Amino acid sequence: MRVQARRAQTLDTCLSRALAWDEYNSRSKGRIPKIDGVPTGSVPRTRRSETGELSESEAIRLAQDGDAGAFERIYQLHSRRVYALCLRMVGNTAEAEDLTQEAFLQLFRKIGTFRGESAFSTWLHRLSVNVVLMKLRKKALPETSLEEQTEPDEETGGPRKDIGGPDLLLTGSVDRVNLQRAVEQLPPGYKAVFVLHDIQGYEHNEIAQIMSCSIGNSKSQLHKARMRLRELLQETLRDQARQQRQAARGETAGTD
Amino acid sequence: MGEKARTTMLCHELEDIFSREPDSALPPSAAEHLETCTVCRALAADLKAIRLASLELPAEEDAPTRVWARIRLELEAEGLIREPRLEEERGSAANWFFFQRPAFAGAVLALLILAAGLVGVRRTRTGTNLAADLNPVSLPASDDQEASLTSTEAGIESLQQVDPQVQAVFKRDLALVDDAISKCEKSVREQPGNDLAREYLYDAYQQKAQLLAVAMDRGTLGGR
Repeated sequence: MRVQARRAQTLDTCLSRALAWDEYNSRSKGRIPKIDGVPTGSVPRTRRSETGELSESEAIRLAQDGDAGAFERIYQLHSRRVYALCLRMVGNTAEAEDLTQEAFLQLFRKIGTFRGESAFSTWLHRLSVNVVLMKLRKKALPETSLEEQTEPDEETGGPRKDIGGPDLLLTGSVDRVNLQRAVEQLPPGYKAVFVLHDIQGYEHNEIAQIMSCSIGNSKSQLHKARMRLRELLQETLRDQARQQRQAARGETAGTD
Repeated sequence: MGEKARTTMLCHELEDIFSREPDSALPPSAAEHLETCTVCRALAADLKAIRLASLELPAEEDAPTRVWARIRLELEAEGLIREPRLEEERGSAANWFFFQRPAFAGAVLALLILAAGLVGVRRTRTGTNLAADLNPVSLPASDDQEASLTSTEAGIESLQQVDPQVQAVFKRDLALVDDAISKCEKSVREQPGNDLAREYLYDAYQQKAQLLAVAMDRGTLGGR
């Protein structure tokens, strides 16, 4: 009898997932970005319940009791950010789907232990980041411990003076595609901090809880991530400039 | 007379500030340094350009609906979900489904074949084969679709003799999913190269198959 009742609930769940084709265009960003210490927006990250839907706290309470609708509500509230995090970290949709699924399964298995000591989203993101980093570890990608120096050749003195000359300024040259590609090339530890802070808008104190590191470490890793991105983007610009010069030479030779 | 205090910041000191406080406003001494040091000025400009560009990357992305479907199934399998309702609909629907299973089984199988065909098109997609994949006829044949819909409709009509309420529920639910399929098919035909449209269509076929499978399960379990 319980199994049949579960199937009936599955039926309702299937129906609630019936797609409206034009829904796919709707997205929201939900960040509080800062430039030079000044907040540039104040879009709240946490969604509130609307039109009588369960609030997050109610959904957590009911989910701890096994309520199916509550599980789905929690998923609705958080899946977009978790999926975006996974996607940015691994760079392909199939793996991102698997990681999102695993993160939420771990969350729902452990939800009975959540006591509210930290923000729920922080807890979920910690789970998600751990799931992703474990996956990357299994793939034997070079993993960056947040407490380690990750750039053996990194200069500890002044800024690199052999790059970043005025002729390779990134201002006006960084497009979304190139930046995304550069982010994908970051070591996992740098990537996680960069995604959480610069893309998803988490503050350093939140990142410190998510990544189990200090606030100072979060800040220094973010700076290192940006410096590495700078190098990668400048390489891209140099490659593009080289290709353009070669193309121009090819055209000139053809007209000789 | 004491030594004149050094007021000019050095380059490594500026980078140290960036490392400790990556997004805070720079102190006046750092601003002064930037006025005189082209290298550090370029560095500061590049870091700002990266931060601005990162705002264009979406903080959220829609996960495909199959992700939740898989999570849901796994939660059920692990017994983590409590199911409190809809038990009263079992009895009358059960006997009908017990006798009508072949019709629904056929519909489920047809839909799964349609979805698998769509997956096959997606997985063989390469740059060189893109022209072939863009051909609108790569959509599942409409006569297979018609077969699945016909058997589904026949099944629902028969249900009316058993329990009108249950029939109404299924009719409503199938209409929702069929509407989604219809919209997605239209989009795929109009935009053959649109991967997202195909993905939504694939998901919609899967959902209809799941819907019918759930209905079959209910009938199977109730009939025992």
